[in-house]
Amino acid sequence: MKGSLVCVGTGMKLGAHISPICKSHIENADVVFSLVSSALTLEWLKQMHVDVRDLQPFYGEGKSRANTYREMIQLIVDEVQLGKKVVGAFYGHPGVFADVPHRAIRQVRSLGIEASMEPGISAEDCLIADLLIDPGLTGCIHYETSQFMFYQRQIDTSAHLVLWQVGTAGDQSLEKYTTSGKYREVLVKKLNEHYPLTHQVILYEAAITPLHKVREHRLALSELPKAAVSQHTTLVIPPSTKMEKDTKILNELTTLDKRDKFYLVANNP
Amino acid sequence: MKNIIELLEKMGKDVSMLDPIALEQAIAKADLTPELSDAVKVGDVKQVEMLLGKNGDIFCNIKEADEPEQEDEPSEEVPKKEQSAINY
Repeated sequence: MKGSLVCVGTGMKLGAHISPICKSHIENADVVFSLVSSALTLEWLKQMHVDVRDLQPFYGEGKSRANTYREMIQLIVDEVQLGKKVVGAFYGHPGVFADVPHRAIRQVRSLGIEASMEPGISAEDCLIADLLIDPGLTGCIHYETSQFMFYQRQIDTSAHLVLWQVGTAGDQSLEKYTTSGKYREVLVKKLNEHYPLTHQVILYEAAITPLHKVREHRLALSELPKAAVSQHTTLVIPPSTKMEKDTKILNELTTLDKRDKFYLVANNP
Repeated sequence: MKNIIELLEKMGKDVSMLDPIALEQAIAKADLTPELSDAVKVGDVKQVEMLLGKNGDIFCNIKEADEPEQEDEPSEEVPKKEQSAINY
C-alpha cells in the first residue's frame, strides 16, 4: 500500500479560516500531524480526527530548532513510508514561513511518493485585512527578521516592509523562544540606516481564536526594543518616502505608445 | 471539552455570534461551567485555557533564517555561503 502526504493549512483563526478541502484532507487521513499556534486549536483539530499527533513536544528551549525540524520531518516521512495517508496540518498557510512542510514534501517526493500542499489563510492575509494594507498600492516586501539581520537585503522605503518573527530577532542559536530588547536594538540600528527613529511602525498579531483580539500597536521605531513582543508578533514598517518616477522608462513607454497610435491611425484611415 | 470547542468553532465561523444575544444563547446551550461561561463572555483566553488545563507554553515557529546546508534529501545546487552565521 503506497502512502501519501498532504500538508494543509488550518488558517489563523480557530473555526474561521479552514478551507473545505483542508478539512476534508484532515478528516480522510490515516494519521494527522499537527503544529498549531494554540492549545485550543489543537483540541479543535482533535475533534476532526481520532489520530492527531501534536508536533509541539519536539520543541525545547535550549534545544536547537534545526534538530526539532529534522525530528518532525522524519516522523512524518516514516509514517508515509508505512503506506499511510498522512496529513500535516499547520497553522496559517503550510507554505508560508514554514520550513517543515516544504522539506517533508521534498523528502517524500524524492522517495517517489506522492506529496502535495494545500494553501491556507496565512498571517499575511490576516495582516492585510486587519491593518487595511493593500500590497498593490505601494508594494510590500517580506523578510524573516533574523534573515533580514544576518544578510544584506534591499529595502525600498517607498514600499511596506514586513518583518516576521520579530520575537526571535537575531537568534543565531535557534534555541531561544524569544530574544531580548538588546537584540531588537541591533535591529533598530539596522533599520535606522533607512528610516528615522521617529518613524511610526506597527507591532501586529492576528487573532488566533475567536476569543483573541487583533493586536495593532503603533509606536515609534525607537520604542521597539522596549515593546512587548512574542513569537506571534510581526513588525510592519509603512513607507517612509514617496515612490519616485522612473522618468527614463516612462519616456520609453510614451515613445512606444505614440508609435502604436501612429500605426493604428495609419492602418485605419 | 467537546462543548467549548464546538462553541469556539461556531464563534469563529458564524457571524450571528457577533450579536451579544445570540452569543449568550449559544453559551447557555453549550452547557459550560459558570467559570468557563464567564471567561468566554469576556473573551478571557488565558482563563479559558487555564480552566481547561491547556495553559502550557506553545512555541510554533517553523521558519529560520537559513535552511540547513545538509539536507536529508537530494537538493538543487545552491551558491555556497562564505561564512554561515548559523552554527548547527
